[in-house]
Amino acid sequence: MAKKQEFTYEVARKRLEQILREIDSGKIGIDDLEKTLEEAKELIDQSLKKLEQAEKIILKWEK
Amino acid sequence: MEAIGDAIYADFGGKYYRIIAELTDVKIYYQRSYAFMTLVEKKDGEISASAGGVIWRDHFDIIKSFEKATGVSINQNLELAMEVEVQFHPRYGLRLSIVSIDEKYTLGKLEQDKQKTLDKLVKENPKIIWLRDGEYRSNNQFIKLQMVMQKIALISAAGSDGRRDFLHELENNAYGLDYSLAEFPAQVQGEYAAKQIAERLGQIQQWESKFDLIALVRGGGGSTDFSAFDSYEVGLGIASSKIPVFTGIGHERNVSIADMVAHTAQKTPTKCAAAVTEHNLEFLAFVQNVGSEIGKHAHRMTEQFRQKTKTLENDILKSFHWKITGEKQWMENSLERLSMADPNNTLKRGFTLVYQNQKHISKGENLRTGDKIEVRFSDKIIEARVE
Repeated sequence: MAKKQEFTYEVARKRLEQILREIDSGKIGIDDLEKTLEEAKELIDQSLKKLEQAEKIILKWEK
Repeated sequence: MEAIGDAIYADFGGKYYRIIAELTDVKIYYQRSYAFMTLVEKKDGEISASAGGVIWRDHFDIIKSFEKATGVSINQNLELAMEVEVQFHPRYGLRLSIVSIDEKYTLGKLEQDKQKTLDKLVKENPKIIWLRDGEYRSNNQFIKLQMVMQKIALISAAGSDGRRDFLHELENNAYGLDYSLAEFPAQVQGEYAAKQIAERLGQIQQWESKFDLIALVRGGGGSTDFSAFDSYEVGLGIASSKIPVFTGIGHERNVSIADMVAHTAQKTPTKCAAAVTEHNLEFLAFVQNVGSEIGKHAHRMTEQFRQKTKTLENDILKSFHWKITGEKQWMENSLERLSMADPNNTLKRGFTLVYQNQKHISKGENLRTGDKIEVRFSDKIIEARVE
């Protein structure tokens, strides 16, 4: 079983950019679209969590 | 003899004569309060007249008052202007009794002699002593003092009050400054004083690098005979000294040639020593000031660095804020774009998706009558047949 790759913001950001480009270009068919959307939403969710963690660190630093 | 005495008194008694004469064979009896000497008049350097002189007890105080006023001691070869009375004493014979001495004459003569000495010094040593704007200048006055003067060569009379006062002031300075002292004893009054002082000045020059300063002091004792300090050899010795000379001659009456050509002239030995300490204090103050300035500068630099670091920190934090805010915004926008592409949302707006053999078809050109299809709505999927 393949080990799940650790989440990093930069990798997630690049994947999201790629997904958006593919959706805009119409290359993804309806059949793959739903899966891709799910992946994208998951990436956004995790990315937002990372950003919030970083924001908390900065707020702590400011104090 | 008495008859002679009476005759002389008859003719000269109560009459006073002003004479100018040089003293020789001077004998002063301080205990008995009288003095004998020979009074000599000269013409072209040759004795033209002479007579015995005396100062009796009733006029003996003129010696002290003269010495105090002029700074000159009654001694051999001294030329004086005097008032005398002709007297005949059965025991001591015919003598000129001195009743007063003209101090102004002597002072004037001293000034004349001093001026002659100065003129000679300038004429014979124009590169060492010169006159500018009415003031005598010497090379010694232009020697740059060491920032700290610690090594001192002291010329003074052994055991004199002047030496003691100088050392006391130097060693007991209120600032705890230490000095290294080498003594060069010399007579400072009397016949050999000028020669000895000049010799000491010459000796010290051999150790030029070992001394920061020469102190020439005289004080206490009799207030007379400053002639050594108005002499040619001492003036030249000081003026040409490669080491700066400070004087403290205790010469209240006027300024001696030694004072005029010395680097620094003080009135007393105590003031002379104090001047050395004051000079060194200037350096101490300078060092303290530099230290204080360094401290202030370091504080300013630290404060500036702290301020810069703080500013940098704020900039970094701001930059992080902007970056995170931007990224969050980008994520929100992406989510919106994904939502727009979501087919479920399209279905909710009333559109349908058509599938044939479980594959989505977007064009109807290949459909034939009787083909089985699935039509997907937002809420359900129905099976249908093409007619």
